[in-house]
Amino acid sequence: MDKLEKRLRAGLLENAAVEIRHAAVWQLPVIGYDATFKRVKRLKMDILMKMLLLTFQQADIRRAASLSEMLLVEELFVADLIQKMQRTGLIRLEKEGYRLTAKGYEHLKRGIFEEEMKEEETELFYSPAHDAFWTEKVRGTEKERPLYRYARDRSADADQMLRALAEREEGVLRDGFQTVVAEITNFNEQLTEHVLCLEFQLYNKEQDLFYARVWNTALNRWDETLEQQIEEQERLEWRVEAEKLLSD
Amino acid sequence: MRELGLDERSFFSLEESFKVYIEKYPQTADRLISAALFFDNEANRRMTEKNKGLVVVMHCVVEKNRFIATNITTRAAHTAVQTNWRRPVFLTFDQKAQSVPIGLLSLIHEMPVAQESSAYVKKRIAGWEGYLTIQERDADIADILTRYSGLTFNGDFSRVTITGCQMNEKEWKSLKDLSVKIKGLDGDIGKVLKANPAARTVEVELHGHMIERARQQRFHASQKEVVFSNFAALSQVKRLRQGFKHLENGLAANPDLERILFEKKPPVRPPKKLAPLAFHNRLNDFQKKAVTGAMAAEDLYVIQGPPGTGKTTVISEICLQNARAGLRTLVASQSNLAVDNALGRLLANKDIRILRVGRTESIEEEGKKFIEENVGQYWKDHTLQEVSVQFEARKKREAEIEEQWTANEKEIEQLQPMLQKAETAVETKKKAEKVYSDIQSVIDKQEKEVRQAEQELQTTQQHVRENERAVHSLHASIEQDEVFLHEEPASGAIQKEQEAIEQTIQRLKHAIACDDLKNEVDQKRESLDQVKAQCEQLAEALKKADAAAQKAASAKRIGGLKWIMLEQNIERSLRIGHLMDEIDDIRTEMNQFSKLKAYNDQLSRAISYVEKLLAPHRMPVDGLKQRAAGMTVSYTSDEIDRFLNELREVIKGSQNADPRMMAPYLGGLYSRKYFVWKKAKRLKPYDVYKNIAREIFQFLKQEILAQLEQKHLENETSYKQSLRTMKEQETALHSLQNKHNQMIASGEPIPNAKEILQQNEAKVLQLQKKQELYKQVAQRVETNRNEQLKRTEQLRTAEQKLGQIEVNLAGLQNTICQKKAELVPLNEILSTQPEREHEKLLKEMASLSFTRESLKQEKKKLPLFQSVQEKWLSLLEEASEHDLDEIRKLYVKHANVIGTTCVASARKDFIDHYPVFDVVIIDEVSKATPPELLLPMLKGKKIILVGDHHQLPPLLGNDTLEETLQEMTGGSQDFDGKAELKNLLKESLFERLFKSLPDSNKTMLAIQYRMHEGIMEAIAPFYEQETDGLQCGLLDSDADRDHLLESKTVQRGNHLLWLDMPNEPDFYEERMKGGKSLYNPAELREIGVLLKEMNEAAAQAKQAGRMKDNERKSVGVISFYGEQVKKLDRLIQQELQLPHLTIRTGTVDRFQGMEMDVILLSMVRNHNNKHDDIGFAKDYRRLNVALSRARELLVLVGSTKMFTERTKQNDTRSMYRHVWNAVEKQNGLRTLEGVQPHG
Repeated sequence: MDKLEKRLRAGLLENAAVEIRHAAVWQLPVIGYDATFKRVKRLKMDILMKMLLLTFQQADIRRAASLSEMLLVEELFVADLIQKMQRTGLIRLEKEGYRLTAKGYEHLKRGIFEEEMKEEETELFYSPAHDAFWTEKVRGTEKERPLYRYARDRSADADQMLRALAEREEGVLRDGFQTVVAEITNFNEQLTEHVLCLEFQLYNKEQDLFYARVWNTALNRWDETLEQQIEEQERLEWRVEAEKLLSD
Repeated sequence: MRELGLDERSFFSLEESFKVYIEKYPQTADRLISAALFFDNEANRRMTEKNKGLVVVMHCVVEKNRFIATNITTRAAHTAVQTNWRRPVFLTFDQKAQSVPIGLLSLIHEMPVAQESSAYVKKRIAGWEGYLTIQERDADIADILTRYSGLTFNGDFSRVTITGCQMNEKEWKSLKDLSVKIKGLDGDIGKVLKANPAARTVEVELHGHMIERARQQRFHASQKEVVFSNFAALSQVKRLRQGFKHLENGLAANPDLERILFEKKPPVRPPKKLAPLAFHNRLNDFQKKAVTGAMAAEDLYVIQGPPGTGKTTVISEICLQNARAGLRTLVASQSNLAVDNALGRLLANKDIRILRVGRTESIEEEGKKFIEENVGQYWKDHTLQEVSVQFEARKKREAEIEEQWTANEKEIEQLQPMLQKAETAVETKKKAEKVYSDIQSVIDKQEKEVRQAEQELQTTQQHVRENERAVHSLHASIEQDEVFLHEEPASGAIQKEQEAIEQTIQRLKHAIACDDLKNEVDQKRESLDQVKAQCEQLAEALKKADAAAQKAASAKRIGGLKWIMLEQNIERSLRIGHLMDEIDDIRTEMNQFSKLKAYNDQLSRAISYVEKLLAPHRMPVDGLKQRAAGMTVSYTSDEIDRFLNELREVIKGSQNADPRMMAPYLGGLYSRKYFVWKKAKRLKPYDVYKNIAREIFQFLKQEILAQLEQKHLENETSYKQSLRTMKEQETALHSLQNKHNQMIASGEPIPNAKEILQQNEAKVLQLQKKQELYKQVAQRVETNRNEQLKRTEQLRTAEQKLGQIEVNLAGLQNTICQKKAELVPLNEILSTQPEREHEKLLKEMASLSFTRESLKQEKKKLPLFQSVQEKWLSLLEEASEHDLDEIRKLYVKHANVIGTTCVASARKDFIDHYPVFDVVIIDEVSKATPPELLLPMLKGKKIILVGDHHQLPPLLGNDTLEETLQEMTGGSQDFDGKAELKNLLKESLFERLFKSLPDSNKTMLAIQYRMHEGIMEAIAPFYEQETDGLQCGLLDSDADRDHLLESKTVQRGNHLLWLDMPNEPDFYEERMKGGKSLYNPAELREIGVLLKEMNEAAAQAKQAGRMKDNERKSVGVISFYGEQVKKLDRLIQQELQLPHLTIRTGTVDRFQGMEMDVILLSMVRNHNNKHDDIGFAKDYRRLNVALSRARELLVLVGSTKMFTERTKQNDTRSMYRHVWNAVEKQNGLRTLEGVQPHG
């Protein structure tokens, strides 16, 4: 810890014009969640093609324009795809309209088919200060430190969690198959972890600038969200204090 | 060929016909035309396959009927084959062909020589060299490598300062704007912002993705070496040069491009005729004109868009119209920011497929969604939204349809009986119409008959009247004639009288004949006497003639003959004349002879006298004689006379003188005597003449006698003739006398017979006339009686007819009356209008049926649409990145609006993907230099330029080109084309095109919607020169642009304010140490105060409910000077807390294209230096941009005295005076507390 602080300080002070007016270490509350979710494995299939195949099953369609009207998709795209599907033998034009061929049925079936995978469990972390999920595992600190002074009391919603998870789990394509997070079946709030943060209040005397730097140990970076929150609240005060000090 | 591994025949048989581009080489006088055939390496597939895509070029000499290939070469596959200087043809190489077609030969003859066209363009484009020279000024820099000691980041990691750099002086100077790469890190980290050689530091502005890296402290490199490189700038200039080259080589998509760019009157083609466009956006008239014009133009259209006039709306509409017409559009602009702004504001419409092309890291947020990797997502979001809107709407629609269906049915039910009623009414009316028209036609016929009968009546009446009159007049005439006949004597009496007179006439005529005969006898006697006298005369004449003949015969001398000739009046015939002339001639000669003889005698006498005188002196007389004989002189008779006289005088006067002095006279005498002799010698001897004369005299006499004889004969004949006549007349006289005697015996003579005869004849004539008249009258009476009878008969008939017609007429009138009465009830029916009602009802019915039908369709379709769309929505929602792959490809393939910067449009990969666009729209044209504009222009068949030359021109860093040029000239750095560049800068390409194009190819958007009209007033003068000026499109400026703020300085009604800074030392500008940029601390201070005041006012507005709680007023704080902006930034960030405002700062130049609710303009300049002026603030275009950014409120902060009085140039002063006046008029002048207002 000390080593980290030392290193950060050294880095900051590399600029001779900068002085550290104040430094602090505190902890940022991050809520952990246990979540169970399901993934499905399905063939990668273009959605428009899938939709066209489905529609041809359902209605008599001869012209790309009618599909374009129904799906609100550019006629060109539809026409292009119809051509492609005709060429590859997925559909053929019959008296009433386009019809799926045996190959087309097969293809659609595979495209619709989703292999449900086993339910999985995972841990997720939500930072109310950032209003964001962190998908990496967060290791909280054991030591008691003061809490982040602008910590906010809010919790995550399931949609946000699903999006974060989907993003994290965005599967790579394997043999034309992809695995997609389909739903979160269950989630429970766990313990709140406390992430250690190192705060420096800086002054650039050359340019007469006050600013904050906060090192977030969970993200391993200078955290601009937290810096901004602090600056917004305190920057004017720092200046007033400094001027007071000067005049004293 | 060998290289290709093909022999001639197999090469030429590769394709049936080759697509070839012909380039003509320059011609020389003494050689045949030569040309190159470029074989297209795209169209000629088999050929291309064979030779791995190389371009085959065949160099040929063009002869009268064939091409001779002189050389065949190949060029790299990417070589341009099709250029504007070459002509495409399809050629078949046939060995059996006799000759090259004439069409091909004439094509080659008429086509331009490629090199000449290139040279032409090169010459013209040279005028643009200056721009490149300026940009190249510092571009040619080798990479600079240096070690460094450390990196320090600023507060928000947007900049890094590299410390401990080691470079030479020149390197330090050339660092600005170079890209920075740190060894060991991938990619450039950013661009040099500022170099400080003294501190050995370089400040670098970091690229976005590098900021993230810096925050993670992943900036450590083991080597600590940094490379500054000018690669980006250099490649930019290279691309610009390449643009020049492409134009030279005829590679512009529009073959007329160079002429449009360079000719004084751009030769644009006349616009197409278009059907009226259906606009998707709501456009004002100017915008409509611009869109229509842009669509109709064939090659170039220019739109001038002053601030806030909806340029982007116009661009958006043009893109949409193009997309609907199946055209692909390139939207280009000078900066990435402008491209992204333009694309971001385009309408989301499924017909427009926008693709942003460029380096991802330099694309702004607004453009990001259009880059290739994001368009799938963009498409999904857009489609999802559209479908869900429709889906939701249709959900409600189901009930609506049912409701409408019922209503519709009910209405139809109600309408049905009404319609039937109306139909019946119409039917009745139709029938009535039929009957009516039948009756009417009967009436018409009857009336026609009446008219005819009436006419007949009239004629008959006329007839009757005429006959009556005739009968009457005949009667009168007969009566008169009868009276006459009665009174006149009968014709027998006249006859008798006439006969008596005739007898008298006979007698009279006899008497007259007697008299006439007696007269004739008298006359005859008289003429007989005359003849007798004549006879006697002739006898006398005969006697006289005989005497004359005798006299002539006896004539001895010529004179006698002449006398007879005169006496007898003998004609002087030719022969007589001739003979007499001859006699005259002989007489003359004989005279001369006697004269000469006389002189000879005289001279001889004189000679002998003189000889006698001289004899005693023994003078040598012989010598004199000889000399005189030898002389040839001539003398006239007068001269001889004179000489002799002289001699006589001499002899007389010198009785005693020496006779020897007479010797010369003797000589003269001899000589004259010789002369006379000589003369005499020439004449014939005198007797000869005499004989001749006598002979001639005899001839003459004979002639005269012959004539006299002739005359005698004639006289004798006429005498005999007279005698005969006399006898005849005597006989005639006797017979006449006999006759007369007989007549006298048969009747006594009557005196005055002639007179009496005349009287009697007149009488007879009268009687004859009378007789005639009597006959005529009698005849007339007869005729008239007959006529009278006939007329009377006619009269009776006519009267009868008249009666008939009258009866007939009465009958007709009666019928008409009856029929008319029948019409009356029909009229009532006809005056109603059931058709209108019927038609209205029919229309209603039709519309109801239509609605019903469409409802039916909708009803039928609805479940299908709903289910399909529901499925579609779910598919879209759960679509993963992979599922959108295909869509993304389709989207890119069919992208029809491509956005990129001017310079990026010349990148190789871009050119490969998009060689040509149907339309190229260039936005913010005035901010780009001509070489930059050329790049996208090269790609467009049609070019649309959008800009405003009254806003800022191209910038290099913070300076305009003029400012840069001024600076360069100051440094006495000279370069080619500086003069030309100066000229170009006077009037930008955009301005020149805008001014020189015909009205059909340009528009100014003259209605602005951004600024409150009070703010607009400040910039109005900049557009005064334009046809329509600048107008405000806001219907109610005060309501639409209410800033809602109330404070000490700003009232609700204020929109244009000027906070006056005193022109005093406390408020003067200051200069950065070691820099040239200016700032103004007093203005900083006042702006700080103002911002706090506004923040407060916004808070109050929220409290008062004028503003929403989460709302923030957008405020732009701008300045002419970069240093001031930096200081403003710091001030706002460090010293102010303004939660109710959203603040953006920037230089005026950076703000072009942006708009904010409130703008504070820090004007900085304030001094009392007589030699200094107001710098950047002088340019009216910069002022225009500064004043036109605010929607609701504009506050100028600066010294009114400095700008309206102390400014050097008149123009600039009046420009700021206008602003000041506008401010004053709107009560917007503010002064600092405790300061007296200026002016």
